[in-house]
Amino acid sequence: MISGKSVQEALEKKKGAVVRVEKVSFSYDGRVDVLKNISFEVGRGDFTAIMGPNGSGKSTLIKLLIGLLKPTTGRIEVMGLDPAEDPRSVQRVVGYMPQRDSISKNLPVKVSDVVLLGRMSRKGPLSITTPSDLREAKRALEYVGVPELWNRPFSALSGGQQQKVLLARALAVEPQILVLDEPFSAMDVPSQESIVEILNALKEERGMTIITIVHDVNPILHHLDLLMLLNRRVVAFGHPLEVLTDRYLLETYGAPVRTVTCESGYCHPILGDRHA
Amino acid sequence: MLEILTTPYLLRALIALFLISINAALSGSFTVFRGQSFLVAGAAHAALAGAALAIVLEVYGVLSMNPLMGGLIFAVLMAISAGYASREGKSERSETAIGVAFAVSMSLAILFISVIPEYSSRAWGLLMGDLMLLTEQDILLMLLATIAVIAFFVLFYREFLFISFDMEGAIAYGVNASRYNYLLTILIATSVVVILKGVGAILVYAMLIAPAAAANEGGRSINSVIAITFLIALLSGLAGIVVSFAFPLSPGAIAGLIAGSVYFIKIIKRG
Repeated sequence: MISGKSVQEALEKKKGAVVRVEKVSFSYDGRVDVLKNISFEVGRGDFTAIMGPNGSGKSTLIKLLIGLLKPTTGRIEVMGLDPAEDPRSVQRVVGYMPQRDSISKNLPVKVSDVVLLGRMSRKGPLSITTPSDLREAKRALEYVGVPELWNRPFSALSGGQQQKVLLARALAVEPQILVLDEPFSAMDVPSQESIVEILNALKEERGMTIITIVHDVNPILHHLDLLMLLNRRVVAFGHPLEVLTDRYLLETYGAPVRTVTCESGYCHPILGDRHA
Repeated sequence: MLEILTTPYLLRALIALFLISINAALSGSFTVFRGQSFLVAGAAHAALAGAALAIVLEVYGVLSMNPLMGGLIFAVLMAISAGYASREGKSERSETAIGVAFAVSMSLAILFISVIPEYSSRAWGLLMGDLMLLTEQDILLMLLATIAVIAFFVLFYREFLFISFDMEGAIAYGVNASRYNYLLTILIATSVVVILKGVGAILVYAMLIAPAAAANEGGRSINSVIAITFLIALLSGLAGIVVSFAFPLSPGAIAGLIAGSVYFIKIIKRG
């Protein structure tokens, strides 16, 4: 059953868009378009997920949003700012959590350093760590439920704990938008559930706008306002109840995807392959 | 016996060892953190070519400068080209760039040395190095380079840490990663030249990589790795000097053997 009310709510929210993407294409080499003619809007306080097969351009899309890459054509606005023109200002309002496997395991860096690095980098080089920086960093670590890890080496933590620390780093900059790249990858189910709870609390308590890439949407499906099915182009975008259909999933993944419909009427895709 | 301790050449060797250990601790640790050992080999051999060119220019009366300065210029150029190749975090490209630059540097070094066969021993001396044959000018250059290395590490420690830990995250949090990547690479190349003068191009690895690699095994924090690296480099070097008094052996080689052994013992103990 599609709930008409929640779809309507999602559409109305979009009027106050904090992220607006218009006809954006991107190519790494100038020949092949990794992303083609992408347009969508995300409203304030929306919890949005982007899913698609490997190589569908998910990570590229969020790198464009935070100004790590520039679109070949088209225009992006984040809180009214253009990330291609002024990435620093956009990055100032965004808390970003990269994929965990892009992070070096070779440094005995402490959790406290990791949480503070983002916040202190925002303040610029040669800035001094003040008591309020420390307080905010500790508060962020408490918010994600692992204050006891403050003095531990990051590399000694489990995958789930590392993700929580990286989420705390993103929260410590007091962002208006959270952008997450696969926050659930290589994580056990209890850790996944606790990250979902934290993200949901951020949305409910702080009205945080969250955009996340997911490989497996099921852990967060019921909390989402918007879902994008991406495969180099936007196959479908809207409320998950509208988007998760056999037809759209087939179009996105290029093969039939088995689905299970739950009691609340949500269609849960069962994707076999998983990221390491 | 006590008289030996106050001889100028030994004093210079001890000062040089102290400076080498500081460079090993700062640049060595970050080289190991970033997995950039190959950069060290590349910079060392580029420095050899630069030093050989400086000697050629001096012999032909074109320009007179300490071969170490020539070495520093070439090592920094090598670092910049490696930094350029890895500017998007693609370390495999950097490895290839260093490999090619390594080949070009050694070809140039041999070419320059073949121009001045009668002075070739001066240039080849840098390949082996000798802690006991340092001049006051050498020490002064090593000291100035080390002060510059310390100053930049103190000022930009946080940025160096962030780009070494998480390049993509660093950029997303507003760090000018490309600038700090170049700077850190140049500092590592500078340390290579300081260490090269003391122990030679062949043994730069022994002092710049082995102590830091040993300290990083099971290291609990960045600061403890830096401090332990300093101690391993200093004590290995001191042991090298002491042994070289008793036996006609190269102090740099002994130091390298000890530092390397500490690493392997730690690896074996870890299982």
